[in-house]
Amino acid sequence: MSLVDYNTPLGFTWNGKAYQGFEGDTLASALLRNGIKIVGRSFKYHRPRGIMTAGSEEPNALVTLIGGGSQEPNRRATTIKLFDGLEAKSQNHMGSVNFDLLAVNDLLSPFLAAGFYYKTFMWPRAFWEKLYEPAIRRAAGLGALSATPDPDQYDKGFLHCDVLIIGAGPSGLLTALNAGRAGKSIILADEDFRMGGRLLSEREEINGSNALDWVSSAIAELKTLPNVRLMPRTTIFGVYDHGIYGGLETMTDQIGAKGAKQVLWRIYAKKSVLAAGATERPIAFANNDRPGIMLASAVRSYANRFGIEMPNSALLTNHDDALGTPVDHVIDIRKGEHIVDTQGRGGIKQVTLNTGRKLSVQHLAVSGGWNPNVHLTCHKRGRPKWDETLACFVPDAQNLPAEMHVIGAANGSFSTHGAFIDANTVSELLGVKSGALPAAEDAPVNITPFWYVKGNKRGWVDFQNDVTTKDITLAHQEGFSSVEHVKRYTTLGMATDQGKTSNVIGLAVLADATGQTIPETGTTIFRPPYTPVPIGAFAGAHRGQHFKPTRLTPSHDFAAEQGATFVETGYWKRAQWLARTGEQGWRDSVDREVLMTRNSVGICDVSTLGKIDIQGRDAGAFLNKVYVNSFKLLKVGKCRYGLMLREDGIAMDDGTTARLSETHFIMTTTTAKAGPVFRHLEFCRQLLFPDMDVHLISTTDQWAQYSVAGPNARKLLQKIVDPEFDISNEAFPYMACGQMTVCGGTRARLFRLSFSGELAYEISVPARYGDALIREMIAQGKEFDAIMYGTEALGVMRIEKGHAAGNELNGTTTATNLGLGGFVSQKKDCIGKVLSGREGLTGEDQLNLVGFVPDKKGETLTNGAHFINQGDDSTPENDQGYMSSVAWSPMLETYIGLGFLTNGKKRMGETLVAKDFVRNNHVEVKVVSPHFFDPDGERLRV
Amino acid sequence: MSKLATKSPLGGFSRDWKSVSLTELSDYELVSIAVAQGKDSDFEKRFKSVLKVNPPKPNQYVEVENGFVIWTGQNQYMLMMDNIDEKADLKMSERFGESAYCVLQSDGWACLQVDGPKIMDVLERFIPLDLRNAPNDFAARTVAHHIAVIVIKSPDGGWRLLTPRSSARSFLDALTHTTDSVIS
Repeated sequence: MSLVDYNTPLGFTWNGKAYQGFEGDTLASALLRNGIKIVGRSFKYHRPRGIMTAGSEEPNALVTLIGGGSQEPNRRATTIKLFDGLEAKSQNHMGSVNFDLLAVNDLLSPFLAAGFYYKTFMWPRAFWEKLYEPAIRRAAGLGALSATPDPDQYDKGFLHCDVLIIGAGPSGLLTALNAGRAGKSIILADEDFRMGGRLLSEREEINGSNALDWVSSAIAELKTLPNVRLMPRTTIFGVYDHGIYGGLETMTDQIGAKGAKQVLWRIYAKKSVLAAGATERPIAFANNDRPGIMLASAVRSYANRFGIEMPNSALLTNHDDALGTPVDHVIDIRKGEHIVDTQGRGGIKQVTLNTGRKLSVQHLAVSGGWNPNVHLTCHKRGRPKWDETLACFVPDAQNLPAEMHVIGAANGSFSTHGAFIDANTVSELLGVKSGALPAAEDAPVNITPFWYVKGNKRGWVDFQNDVTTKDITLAHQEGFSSVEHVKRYTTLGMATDQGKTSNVIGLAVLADATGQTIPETGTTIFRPPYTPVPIGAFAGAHRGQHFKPTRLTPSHDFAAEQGATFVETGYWKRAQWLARTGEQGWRDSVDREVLMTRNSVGICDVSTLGKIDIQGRDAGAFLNKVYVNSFKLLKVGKCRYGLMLREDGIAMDDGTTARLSETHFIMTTTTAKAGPVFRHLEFCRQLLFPDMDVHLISTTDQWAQYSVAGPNARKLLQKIVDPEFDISNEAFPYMACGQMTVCGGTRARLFRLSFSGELAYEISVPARYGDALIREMIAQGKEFDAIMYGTEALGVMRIEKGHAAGNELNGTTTATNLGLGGFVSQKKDCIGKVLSGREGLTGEDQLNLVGFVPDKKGETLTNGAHFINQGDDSTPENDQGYMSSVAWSPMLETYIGLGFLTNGKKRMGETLVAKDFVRNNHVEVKVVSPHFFDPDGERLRV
Repeated sequence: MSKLATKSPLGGFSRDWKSVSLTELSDYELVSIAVAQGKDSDFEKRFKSVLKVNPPKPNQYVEVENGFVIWTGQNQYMLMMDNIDEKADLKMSERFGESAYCVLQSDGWACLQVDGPKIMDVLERFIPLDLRNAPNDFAARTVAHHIAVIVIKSPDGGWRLLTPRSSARSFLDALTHTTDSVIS
């Protein structure tokens, strides 16, 4: 009786040929069912390899799944649940899997020993890139990627529970029953698609009946408990801080299927119970890697769970547990017999014993004992301890992750009875009452450690990486005696199986070589993940349009309708320019936008500027602390430009702040610094000035804000602002602000500010009205030829005015550098003031922000260029500063630039060379005032 | 009467899956309320007088007439009113006097109502909090897909998700993507 549903056949293809399996099969069992012995080629020697295990520890049966126009390499056939239409192929061969041309490597094995790549291919040197590396790359690497985008979807999620139980074998199921019945919130996760653990593969009795009946009954009861979540096909792959576990749930193996293929769960567990069982280990003897040689537990799994018999078989073992394997011959090491060699290229045909006896077999079951799955117990730097009686590493209770308990075979309790006792014991520790102890087998462990057979031929330790006993011995001979060094020199325990079947044997071989015991030799460090996790699962849904959030302004759709080209500014998308029919390139659009704004009126969406609502009795005093200039005495109804320093005296951000009432200010920040400035202010409020009555809240998203600039700005706004509000120059002068209504009663704020140097205002309305307001302003502005302009035109106009922006507030400049030294109030203290006066930031020869024009009109300036005195060599010692911003000025019809020049204020009229080695553009420039356009500010005060 | 039309952050989005529905709510006002330094007792008195309940505790909301108040931080609350009143902040400011500072936040957020029998299957793939065990008066701030969100367990059994307006479309894209994935 097996657990396969023979009434549900499933068709699949293997290397292009059609086969049939059944519901309940894995791909591995389906291949075996169809008599396929060779499923792949080994990594280095390209030896034929067959299925060795029935679980996630499989080192040999790595296959490529095909589907959805793509393929997924290096999947373990033992963990793939068969589905109708599955397509798979073998990998790592040239030619067919049965006749691999690269099998010639096996003949060259004396030259391909451990670390061969460190010793060979040294000469001739020129051959490395042209011959050796391409040849090695061609031969190595197991499966191949499809080189097409991954068609699958992945997702992430978050789960919370009182107890996470890892493994649904007998101990895990009983613990879940105990804790579930007591009302604990439980997650029971198992990497297999069917729960039951080893009970699925053995013929055991529990309470006098078939153990599978107990499993079915336990699962059925657990399903009725609302506080229990059963998660088959979920591998707990990592243990992290604060009780967080990583889990990978596989929803389907089908490539390109609808919905998430895998879900990466972050599981928050108050306690965890590791009931992950144990992994059987092989024994290394000559030619122990032939197809048909399997772990004894796998032979029992395929026989009992999948109904696949292995005729003409033998068993090699050193302990009692494996004796239940259905075989024709038993070779019990404890009776003095062991295997010294095997024969059969395409599959085992014969074994030779140390006694000289030869046995003709088609299958060989091997068991060298069991290794508890201690991996997860070590993710927080714990180390397992050696148990001499059990001949294996077991978890060390002294250094387990916090709140983790280990039970069952994972804890070295190998009998089912022992597993149940562990489950009931841990249940008490979890504070729940344990149920009746089910009656089950309680065979003692009777093992004689036996790791490998010495000899001249190769005996495989790590099947996946083609590491043999000889490789480990050789590594030791060459001076690698630390287990960590041996691992890296030989590649023992790497790749998809992470040494699940090989590590302990490797340690035993190394221990023999060094003359130490196995515990003295120690283990390598176990790190997450326990089994492979696709990169796609880590990325989850964060790909393509979901890679990062996008922030849109309230009038984004309107800008798009106007043909805007958008630029990413942080997460924001801002209109960069808005092209009109007939314009040949972005410069045409930008020049037009500048000219139309300066000649009439333009509207720019400045909703992205950070807006921070600051309220409190001490709000003014607070602003005095964070700005270099004074705000405490700012009159209600007025705005003021402010510069903010970091603690180290470097300029942090600038902007304007408006006072709406005695206790109410509105601060604007640059788009890029909105978040950092808010964080800084909160830091100041909460930690530096906790006694101040001041509160902050971001209103960036609350208000849609538009800059309306140009000689006709007021005329346009007078059609928008409700008539009861006077915004004439006299009533609402430069730097005024106020709350009013627009368009028949819509609440609004108006600030008379200018970044462009024109008569300008910034008007804001609640974001729900943003789209309607811009449409209304454009409509009302028709008589003035009002346009919407983008950030590029905004940038041109601010450079024409000599205003610093992000290029200048670049994290290296001071108020003095920016020409704002005079802003720093001498009457008060502020953050950054002390350190802005430190050596190196003061005195002569500081960088000053100045303007530049090409000496020969028409020449192009580029930002990033460094200034060198004429005649000097272009060396760092001769560096005089750098160009930070450049633009073509349609008003001045020349390139203009802003930049930082040593002692620049005193060098007006000087000619330098702006050298840009990146673009190979070297231009003679003249130092001028940074205020290129309307230097006296006459336009903005009219 | 304003001649400007309003536009909600998600354009009135509404979509039904077999067992989950997502609907944008827009007929509400949000007012942030911050307690003035040293005015705690005055604030509490006024809170009770104005809203007829005590202020909520962390990760909690309290129901008030026509809405509820969420705890959003130390000495900070958010009033969500299920009706339109664009002067809600000014009115609240008047009622709380010098004990608190009120700021209109209605336009800064988008609000999605999430309902349906499979709602938790969707939200556990989206929200990092333990919503399955959340009490009935649960409200908390967190992030989903790198975007800020305030999660509120609605009195009617569904959930409200408040997320900043500017990134609301990305938030919605991510949520519908997750819902598609779960309900596939």
